[in-house]
Amino acid sequence: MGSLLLREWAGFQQFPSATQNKLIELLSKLKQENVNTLTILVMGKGGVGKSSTVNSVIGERVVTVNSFQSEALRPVMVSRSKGGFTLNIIDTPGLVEAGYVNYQVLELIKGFLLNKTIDVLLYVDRLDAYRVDDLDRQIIKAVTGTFGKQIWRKSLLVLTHAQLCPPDGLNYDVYCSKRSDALLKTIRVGAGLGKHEFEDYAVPVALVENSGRCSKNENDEKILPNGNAWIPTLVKGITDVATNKSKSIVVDKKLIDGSGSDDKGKMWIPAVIGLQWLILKWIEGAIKSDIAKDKKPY
Amino acid sequence: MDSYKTSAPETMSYQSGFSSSPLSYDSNNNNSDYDNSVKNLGLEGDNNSKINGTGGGVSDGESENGEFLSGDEGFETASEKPVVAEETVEQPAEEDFNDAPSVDSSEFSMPDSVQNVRENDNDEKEVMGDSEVRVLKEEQGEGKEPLGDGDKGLKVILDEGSVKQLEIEGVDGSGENEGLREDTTSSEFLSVEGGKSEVLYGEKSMENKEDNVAPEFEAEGVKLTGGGSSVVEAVNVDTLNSGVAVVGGLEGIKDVEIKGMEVPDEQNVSLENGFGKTNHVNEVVESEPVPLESKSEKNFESPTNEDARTSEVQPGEPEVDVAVVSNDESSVTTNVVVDNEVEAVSISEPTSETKSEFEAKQTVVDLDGAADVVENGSSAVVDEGLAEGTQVANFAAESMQTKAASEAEHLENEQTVVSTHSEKLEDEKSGKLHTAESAEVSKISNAEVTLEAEEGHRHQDEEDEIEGSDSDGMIFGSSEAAKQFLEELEQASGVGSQLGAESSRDHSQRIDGQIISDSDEEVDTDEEGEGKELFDSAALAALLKAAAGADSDGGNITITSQDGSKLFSVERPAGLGTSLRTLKPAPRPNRTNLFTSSRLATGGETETNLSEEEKTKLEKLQHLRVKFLRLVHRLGYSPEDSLVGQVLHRLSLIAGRQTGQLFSLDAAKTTALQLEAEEKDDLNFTLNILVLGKTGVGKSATINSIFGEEKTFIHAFEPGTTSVKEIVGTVDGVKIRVIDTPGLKSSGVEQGVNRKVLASIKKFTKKCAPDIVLYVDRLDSQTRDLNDLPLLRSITNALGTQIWRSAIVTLTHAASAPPDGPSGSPLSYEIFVAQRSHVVQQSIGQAVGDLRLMNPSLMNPVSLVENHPACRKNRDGQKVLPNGQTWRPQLLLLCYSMKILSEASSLAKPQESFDHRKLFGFRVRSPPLPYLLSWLLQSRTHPKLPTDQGGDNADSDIELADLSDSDQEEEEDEYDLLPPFKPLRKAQIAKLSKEQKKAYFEEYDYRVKLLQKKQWREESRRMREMKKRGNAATEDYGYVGEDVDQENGSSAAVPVPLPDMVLPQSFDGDNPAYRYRFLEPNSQFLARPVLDGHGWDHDCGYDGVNVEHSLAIASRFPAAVTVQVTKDKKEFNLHLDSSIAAKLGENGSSMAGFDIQNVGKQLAYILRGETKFKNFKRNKTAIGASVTFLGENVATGLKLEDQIALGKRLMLVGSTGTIRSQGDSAYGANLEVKLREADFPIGQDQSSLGLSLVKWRGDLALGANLQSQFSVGRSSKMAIRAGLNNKLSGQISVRTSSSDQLQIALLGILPVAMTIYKSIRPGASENYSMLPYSLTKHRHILQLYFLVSTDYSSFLVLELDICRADVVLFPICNLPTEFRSEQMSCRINYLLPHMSTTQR
Repeated sequence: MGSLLLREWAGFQQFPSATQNKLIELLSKLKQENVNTLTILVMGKGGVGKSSTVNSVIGERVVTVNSFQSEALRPVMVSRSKGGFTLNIIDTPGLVEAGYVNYQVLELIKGFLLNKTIDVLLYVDRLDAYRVDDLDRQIIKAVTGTFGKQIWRKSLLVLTHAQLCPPDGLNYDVYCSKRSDALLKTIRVGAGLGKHEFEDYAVPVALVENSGRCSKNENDEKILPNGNAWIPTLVKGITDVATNKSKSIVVDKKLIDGSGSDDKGKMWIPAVIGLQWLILKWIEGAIKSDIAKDKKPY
Repeated sequence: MDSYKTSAPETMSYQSGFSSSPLSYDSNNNNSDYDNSVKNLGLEGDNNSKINGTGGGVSDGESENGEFLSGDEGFETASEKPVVAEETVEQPAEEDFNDAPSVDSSEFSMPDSVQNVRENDNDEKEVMGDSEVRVLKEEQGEGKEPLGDGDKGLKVILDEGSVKQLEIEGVDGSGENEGLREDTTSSEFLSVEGGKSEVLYGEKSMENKEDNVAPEFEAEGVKLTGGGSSVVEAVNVDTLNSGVAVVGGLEGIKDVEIKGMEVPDEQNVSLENGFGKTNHVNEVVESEPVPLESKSEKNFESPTNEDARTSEVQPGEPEVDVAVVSNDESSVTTNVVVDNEVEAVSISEPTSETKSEFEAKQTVVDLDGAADVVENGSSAVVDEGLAEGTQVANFAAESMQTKAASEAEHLENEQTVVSTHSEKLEDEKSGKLHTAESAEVSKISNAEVTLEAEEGHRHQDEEDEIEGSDSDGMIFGSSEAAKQFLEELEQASGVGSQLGAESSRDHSQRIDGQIISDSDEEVDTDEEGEGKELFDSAALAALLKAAAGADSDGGNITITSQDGSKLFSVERPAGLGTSLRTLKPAPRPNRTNLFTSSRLATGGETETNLSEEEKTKLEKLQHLRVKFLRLVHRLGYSPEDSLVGQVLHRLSLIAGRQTGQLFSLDAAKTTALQLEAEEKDDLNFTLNILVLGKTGVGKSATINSIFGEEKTFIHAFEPGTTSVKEIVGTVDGVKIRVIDTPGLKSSGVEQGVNRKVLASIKKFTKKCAPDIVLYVDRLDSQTRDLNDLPLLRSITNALGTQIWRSAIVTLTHAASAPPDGPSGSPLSYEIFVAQRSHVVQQSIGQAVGDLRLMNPSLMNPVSLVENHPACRKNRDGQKVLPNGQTWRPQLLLLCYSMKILSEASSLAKPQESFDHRKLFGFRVRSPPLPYLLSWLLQSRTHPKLPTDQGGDNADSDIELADLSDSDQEEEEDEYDLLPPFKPLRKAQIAKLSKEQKKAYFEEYDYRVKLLQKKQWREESRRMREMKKRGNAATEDYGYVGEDVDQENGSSAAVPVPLPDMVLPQSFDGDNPAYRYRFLEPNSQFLARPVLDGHGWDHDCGYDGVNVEHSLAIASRFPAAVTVQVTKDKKEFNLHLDSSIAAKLGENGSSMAGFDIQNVGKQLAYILRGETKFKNFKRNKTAIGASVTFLGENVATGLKLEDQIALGKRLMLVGSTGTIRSQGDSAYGANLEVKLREADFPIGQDQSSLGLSLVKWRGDLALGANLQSQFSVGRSSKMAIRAGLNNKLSGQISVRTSSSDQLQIALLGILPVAMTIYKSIRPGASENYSMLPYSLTKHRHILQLYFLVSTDYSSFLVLELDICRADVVLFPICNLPTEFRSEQMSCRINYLLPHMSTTQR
C-alpha cells in the first residue's frame, strides 16, 4: 500500500457517531470477507450529483461541486484509508453532452481505469426527475458496451435529491419504488439483459440526499423523508454489492480494446476492401468501354 | 425632553452594545433626533428602527433613510410627520417600550435631534399655517402620500423587527423631540443606511398594508436589508443611524398605530431581536418576519390614526424603527447599503436642519456613487438576504395582492386630489385631503409599496430581460432619460434647496426628496438587477431602465404635487425595498407627469396638432392602455407595479411625445377603474399560449395551475400528454387558449420524434398563432453541457426563430431548495434562479444561433412556476414561491404585458411585423465596419484604355517592363531554334520504355512551356506596339478589364474581342465553361457564371451570373462596370462595381468608383476614390477614401496601400486603413506576400501568405492566410489553403486534382461511408453542425470529399476545420457541415447519371 499516497480518512470523523458506528460495523464485515480495498466507480449524467455523492460518502469536500458548470473534465480518484481498509472512489465527468452520450468521456474513463479493479459501480441519477428517456438507455448501453454486462452485477443504483415531496399525492415509498423501477427497467433494456437474467443481476437501489439542508434525526444523521439515515444505508448497499458473488470487474487492456462498441464493425473491413476493389474494377471497365465507344465516331 | 436626552445616551450604549459597533450609537441618537425633528414621532420611529438595526441599528437607520431618501422629502415629511409622530409617538412609545425596554432607550436618545427637527418642522408647519399637529397632518397629507411612501418604507423597516423598536423610539421621540435634535447629525449618517434598509422595508411595508401580508413583506425587507447590510457595514457607523431615524420618523408615525394595535407582541419580539440579534445581522433577519407582521398592522392602523389622531401615527413610527432592525440585514448586503447610505445622508441633513440644496446635491452625488457601489456590490450578499427573506417574500406576495386593492383606492384618491388641486392647491389640499384621506391613502400607498417591492425582485429580472429584448428602444429612451434624470436631479437639488430656504413648502421638499429617493432606488435596482442576472450587459439594461425610471421621476418632479401626494415617497421605499427586488420602481404614477413634462419640454404639442391618423392611433393605444390597466386590476396589481410601469412606459413611448390630456395615463386609469367598477364584462382580450418543453417538466401541470383546475391529465412517470391539444378556459374574464403539447425529448437521437411533434404543433399554430410561447423547464434540474441544445435547435428549426421573440422561459419546481454552492453552503434562492435562468437563456441563444440573442438584454423573460399541491400558499390561496412571490398572477401579467406590447407595436407600425429589434431601433445599429474595412482595403486595379494595357502603367499589376527585350529575343530564339518536335500518340507512348517516357515528357513539357511563353510575349509585344501607335485604333477594340482572368493564365492583355472562358483541356460536365458559354463573341459585355471559390471544386452550385463591361468615356477615361447577381435558395445578392479612372501622367492614375452590395439584408452604397502613384520603379503607393451609405448610416473610410515588387517572383502588398461610423471606428491592416513561379504568367504555381489585423471596439482580430497552389507531377495539381485567426478558429483545405490517378477515387469511399454512418448515427453530424456557434472544447474535424468527374480525373478535397467556438466571432469555416453533407450526397447522385451519359 502506498501509504504515503494514501490519506487517512479524516472525513470519517465528521460523521455523526451513530453513523460512524454503523460504518465501522459494515467495514468490519468487509474485513471478515477479506476485502481490504474497495474501489467504487461513480457514473451518471451530468448534474445529477455524482461529485456531491462522493463528497458525502467521504465526508469531506474532496471534489469541487458547482451547480452550473461542468465539474471535472476527467475522472478523479479519491483514496482514503482507515484502519488498514482502503476506500477508492472514482468520480467521473457527466456522460452526456449536448444531448448525446459523450463517448470521449467514456474513453477517458476507460483509460483512467486501466489496470484497476472495479468493485462497485454507482450509477447515479436523480430521484426527483419524473421521466426516463432514451438518453438514459443510451448511457446504460454505452456503459455496458464499455465494461460488459457483468458490470451490472456489481452496480448500485443511486438516486440523489431524495428529499422531496412526491407529486400527485403519492406516498414517498411508492414514488421511490416507481422511480427506481423505471430506471431499473431502463438498465435492463439498455444493458440488453433478459428478464430472468436481470432478476439474477438484481441491481439494488440506494437513496441519497446531498444537500446541506437535508433533515437530520436526533442522532444528527442525515435522513430521508422516510426516516432512514441514508449514509449507512448507502454504504451498506455498497458493501453488499462488493461482497456479492459476482466477480469484480478488472479493467485490463483486453476489456478496453475489445469491448468498444465502435469496434464491432471490424469484421467488415475485408468485405469493404473487396467491395472497393470490385467497384474500382467496374469503373475501370466502364471507362475502357467508354473510351472504346468514343473512338468509333471519330 | 431632558429625560429623553438622558435616555438617549443610555440607549446609545444599549444600541452600541447591540450593534457592537460605535456607529450604532450615532444611529440611535440620530434616530432619536430624526424623530424629534420629524415631529419626534416620525423621527423617533426612524431612530428606533436604526437603533434596533444597529443592534442592527444602522441598518434600520438605513431603511428609514431610504424612505427619507426619497427623501429630502423624507426630511420634510419627517418634519411633517414629526407632528403626527409626536402625538403618536407618545402612545406607541409606551407600548413599544413596554415590549422592548432597550428600544425605548434608543428612542430616548433621539429626542435631542427631534427637537431640532421639530423646530424645522415647526417652521414648516407654520408656513403651512396649520398647527403643529396640522403641519404633521399636512405633511402627512401631503405626506400622506409621502407618508404612505414613508409608511411603506417604514413598514418595511418595521418588518425586520427593528420596526418594533422604532415604534418605541417613536413614542419616546415624540415626547422627547427636542432632546433628539442634537443627535440629528449622527442621525444623518444613520439615515443613509436607513435608506438601504428602506428598500427592504419597501417590500415589508407592502406586507404591512395587509396585516397578514406584513410578515411576508418583512421577510422580503429583511432580505433586502441583508443585501444592503454588508455595504452598510462599511458605511454603517455614521450614515445608517441617522438616515434610519429620519425615515422611521415619517413612516413610523403611521405605522406606530398599527403596531400599537396588533403588533405589540410581535414588536416586542422584533425589538428583542434588534437588541440581542442586531449585532448578528442574520439572526435579526430571521426574527424580523414577526416584527414585520406587527409593522403591517401598525401601518394599517396608522393611516387611520393619522387621519383622526396623531397619536396613532406615532406608533407607526416605532414600526419604522423596527425597519431599522433590518440593519441586521444590512450587514448581509453591502450594495444595498451603499445606496441607502447616500439617500440617508441627504435625508438626514435636511432633517437636522433645514433641507438644503446642499443635501439634495449630496444625495445626487451619493446616488452616483451608490450606483457604482451597487454595481460593484456583491450580489452574493443580496442573495443571502434573499434566501433568508424568501419565506418572508412569500408573505410579501400575499401582501401584494392586498396592496393591489389598496392601489385601486389610491388611484381614486390621487385622481380626486389631482382634479381638485392646482399644484399649490394640491399641496395644501393634499395635505388636508391627505389628512382626511390619510388613512386610506397611507394604506394605499403602503399597498403600492408592497406590490412594488414584491414585484421588484422578479420584475427586475424580468424587466431587464424584457427590456433587453425590447430594450433597444428602451436604451435610447434611457440615455435621454439618464440625461433628463441628471438634470432633474440637479433641478431637484436646487429646488430642494430653495424649498428648504422657503421651508414653507413642505411639498416641494418632499418632492425633491422623493425624486432623490427614486433615483437612488433606480440605482439600487439596477445594481441589484445586475447582481441577480449576472449578465454583463445586464448592467447596461439596468442603467437604461434606471434612466427611464429617472425620466419618469423627473416628470414627476416637475409636476410633483400629485405624484408626491400619491406616494412618490412610497414608491421610493418600495424601490428601496426592492433595491434587491424591484429594479424599476419609478415609472408608474409618474407617467402622467412624464407626459406633461415631456409636453412642456417639447414646446407644448397640443392635441389639436395631431393629425387624424395619429389621433386614431392614439385612441387605439389608449384603448389598449385601458385594457391593460383593467387586466392589471383584475390580477390584483397596481399600476405602480414595476412591470406594469414598464409596459405603460413602453406604450407611451410608442405613442410618442404628443400625448395629450385625453390620452394621458390618468385618464386611462380612470376609465379602467370605472369599467372595472361597473363590472363590465366587455374586456375583449384573448390570449393564445403555446406551451413547449421537455417531457416531464410540468407543462400540463402548469396549464392546470394557470386555470386553477384539472384541465388536462398529468402523470408523474408517464407522459401525460400524447398529442397536441387545445385547452380553452377563462381566467379573470380573459379567454385563454392554451396549446398543450407532448413533451419533447432532449436526446439528440430522438430529435426525429421531436420533429414529428413539432410538425403537428406547427399545424396548430397555423390555425391560431400563439401570442405567447411558454418554454417550460425545471428550475431544479441542473442540466449543463448544453444538454437541451438538440431540443432547442429542433424547436427553432421547426417553428422558426421568431418563436423565441414571444417566449417566456418558465421554470417549474420553483419551490425547490437551491443546491449547495461552491462553498458548501446552499446558494441563495435568487442566485439559484438567476443562474438557472441564465443557463436556459444562453442555451436558447445558442440554439437560435443568433448571436444577438446571446445578448442578455434580448433574453427571454423568465417566470417561475410551482405546481406542487403542497406548495405554500398565502391567505388567498395563491401559491407562494420561496422568494415571496405569487407566481400565477405574475405569469399572467407577463403574458398580458407581452401581448399588449406586441399589439401596441403592431399598432404603431402596422407595416412592420412585431419585432423587438425593429421596434427598438436595431436598424440603427452600426454598420459592419470590419466588413466594410476589408472591402476598402482590397487593392484594386484601375480600368485602363486598351492602348494602355500591357504597358507599365502605374497600376499595372504585371511588371511587363521587367522583361527586357533581349530576354525576349533570346528566348524566342530558343524556341525557334529547337528542332521540330512531333508529339507522339498515346499508343506510341505506351510502347516507350520508362526512361524514354520520362525523357519524352520532359522534352514535351519544356516545349509546351516555351511555346506558351512565346505566345504570351507576342501578345505583349503587340500591345506595346499598339500603345506606341497611340490611340489610333482605340475604338476598334472592346475594352478588357485587365484584372479579368489574369490569374487564370489567359493573360490580361488580350487585345482581341473578349475571349470566352478557357475551356478545360478535358471535358468536364460540371465545368461552367460548358454550361455558361458566352455565345455572342462580339458583344461588348462579358458575361460569365459565378464560381464559388470556397465551394467545392467543380461545384455544381453555380448560382450566379457576372456581367462585365468596359468602355472609355470621352475616349480618355476608361470605365468598367461589373454586376454580379447570385441567388440561391436562401438569399439574393447583388453586387455592382463600377469605376472610372483617369490617368495622371505616366506614373499616376486616379479612380472613382461606385459600388452597391448586400450587407446583411440591406444594400450598401459605396462611393470610393483612389489615387495610385508609381513612385519608384517597383513601388506603387495608393491613397484612397470611401463613403458608405448603409441604411441610415454613413461610414467614411481612408486607406493607404503600398505595393513593392521584389524581383519577378516576390510581391509585397501592404495596406492599412480605418473606417468610421457614428463615432465607432475600425482599424485594419493587411500584409500580403506573394511568391510566384519564376515564369509566372505561364507557370501557375504560386503561394501567398496574408496577414490581417482588424481592431474594432476594442476587439483585436488577427488572421493569417496561406494559399499555395502547385503541381504535383504532370497530371496532378494541389492547392492548399489554410487560415487561422487569433480565436483559434480556422480552416485548412487541401484540394488535389488529378487526371490520371483514378485510385484517388477510392478514398472517396471513406467519406461516403462516413456520411452513411453519420446518417445512421446522427449524433456525430449534429456535433459538427454546432461547430460554428459553440463548442466547449477544441474540435478538429477532418473531412474528405471526393469527386470523380466524367473525364476520369478525380478530385479530392480535404478540409480540416479547427474551431474553438465559444468565442468565434468571425467563423472562417462558414459552411455548415450539414450543408456540406447534403452537397455530398447531391454530388454523388449527380455524378452517376452523368457518367452513364458519357459512356453512352
